[in-house]
Amino acid sequence: MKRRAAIASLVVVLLVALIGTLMPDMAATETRPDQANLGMSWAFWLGTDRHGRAIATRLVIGLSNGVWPAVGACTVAGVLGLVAGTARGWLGGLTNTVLGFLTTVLATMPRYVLVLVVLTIWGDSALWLALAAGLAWTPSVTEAVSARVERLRHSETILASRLHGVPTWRLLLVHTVWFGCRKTVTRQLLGLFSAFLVLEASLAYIGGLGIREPTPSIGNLLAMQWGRGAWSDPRFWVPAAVLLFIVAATRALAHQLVEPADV
Amino acid sequence: MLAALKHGAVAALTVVVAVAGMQVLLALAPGDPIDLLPNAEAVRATLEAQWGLDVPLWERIGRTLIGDFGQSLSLRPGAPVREVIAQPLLKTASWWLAGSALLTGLAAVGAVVQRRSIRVPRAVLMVVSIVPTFLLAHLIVNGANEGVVAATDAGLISRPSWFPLPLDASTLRFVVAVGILAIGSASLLDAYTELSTQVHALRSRPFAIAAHSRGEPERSWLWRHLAIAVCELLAGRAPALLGGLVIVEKVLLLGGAGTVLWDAAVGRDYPVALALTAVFALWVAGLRAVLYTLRDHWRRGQTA
Repeated sequence: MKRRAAIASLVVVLLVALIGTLMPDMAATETRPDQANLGMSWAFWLGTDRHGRAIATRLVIGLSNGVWPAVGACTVAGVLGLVAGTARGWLGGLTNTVLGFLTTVLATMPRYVLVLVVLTIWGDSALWLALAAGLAWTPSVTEAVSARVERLRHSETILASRLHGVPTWRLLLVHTVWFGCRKTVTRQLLGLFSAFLVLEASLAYIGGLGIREPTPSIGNLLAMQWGRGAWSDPRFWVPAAVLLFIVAATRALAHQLVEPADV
Repeated sequence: MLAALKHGAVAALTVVVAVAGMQVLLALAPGDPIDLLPNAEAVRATLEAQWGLDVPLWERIGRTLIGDFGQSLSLRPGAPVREVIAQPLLKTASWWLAGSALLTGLAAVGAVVQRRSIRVPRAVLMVVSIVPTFLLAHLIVNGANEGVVAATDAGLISRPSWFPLPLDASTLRFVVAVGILAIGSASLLDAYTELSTQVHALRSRPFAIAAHSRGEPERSWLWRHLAIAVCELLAGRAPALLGGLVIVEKVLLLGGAGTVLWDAAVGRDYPVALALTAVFALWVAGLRAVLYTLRDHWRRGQTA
């Protein structure tokens, strides 16, 4: 039940992000001073900000501005982590030592620090943010996949399949990676997905990095409304609640995907 | 001794590869900081020599490894990077140490007393662990400030010396920073779960059951054995604590190395950013070498 609720929540988030992608940017960036600081109404579901922009529209478009780079970061970490982890676990020996060392090097650098240094060198954009976050989270995916593949490689099922002449590529891709690692990888990527949204919100909220005004993001929305009494203002707490909801849903789903051997 | 050398060598090699990786990343980046200047071509030759951009890659790596980080480009133009980062690093070290101590202390005590009458409020930790660090920090700061305003308006208290948070340095600001760092950034809940599992496994081991049946107090062996798990916990959490400090320092206006790194990223001051990354890599790798040496030493002692 919890799993279905969490999946449904994340599907809704992705659908909202998709709607946000289809909406014109002007809807979220055009300023209307005559409509500044309006309260909640049928025309403006969450009211307007000090520039007269509809908060609900900005929230939907802001969500899509955060969600798609998060999906990009997950793709980077998923591909790199899956390839490196599978190679480490399946081949063992020198490959495991070399890739293991490189993973350790990457994991030695704090994630936020790695992201900031990549943004410093390559410039501050959603693309580099997604790549940097994907790279920073790759070690955890690699470690999890490598441990699982190594355990599966020595399992009786794989050994028996080998004796029955199942080709190596099938053993590796279907039995080990698909059936054996999909939950482990999904769990790791769900963690990265929510961590990326928090990272992006942190960068935009603190200011100077990440998605910047007038382009909307959850961090920008929070920064715009911050001040005395912010927590009683839906223009602040609704974006905050959306962020917390996504983090809680991904955590709940990730928790459901824990396999006994991963504990 | 041999274990210490092995861990030390791994740490040294890790730092060398990390520094080389960052310099390669810089070398691969399109353009350079001079491109950002309006009269780029006129001053290129002078600035390339001054900023060390004409130096080959291997020499840049070598210079970074011996602590020659060059000059700051935008934070304090022309000042040696070592000067720019030295003081903030000391501040960051103190917050990091306090955060680590609080994290391990709370997690270890919580894990040990879990069987007894005091129970760690897991639900509270779960809620806190999903709140992003920057929101948690601002919630606490705003709550404290609004509380003081309300109490002052009602005539209940006079204006406290730390008010308003986080503008001035105060004990409260330090406590809030360290608390958020330990509970939020380093995820106290995960640390507590990790140590609880270890404590449970230790209590099920034959020597523990034998000691219990002899009537020996648990403290005579539990803390000694738990030290190994604490070493591994600290080694694992060190990067998260450092990363968390970047956010905590910015939100609470602490002015440590995290703030400098942030400002360097905003100003594209890559010598400062690279220097801090190298120092953080050395910090984590060195700490891990020490902790893993201690762990191995204690493990050997227990086996013997």
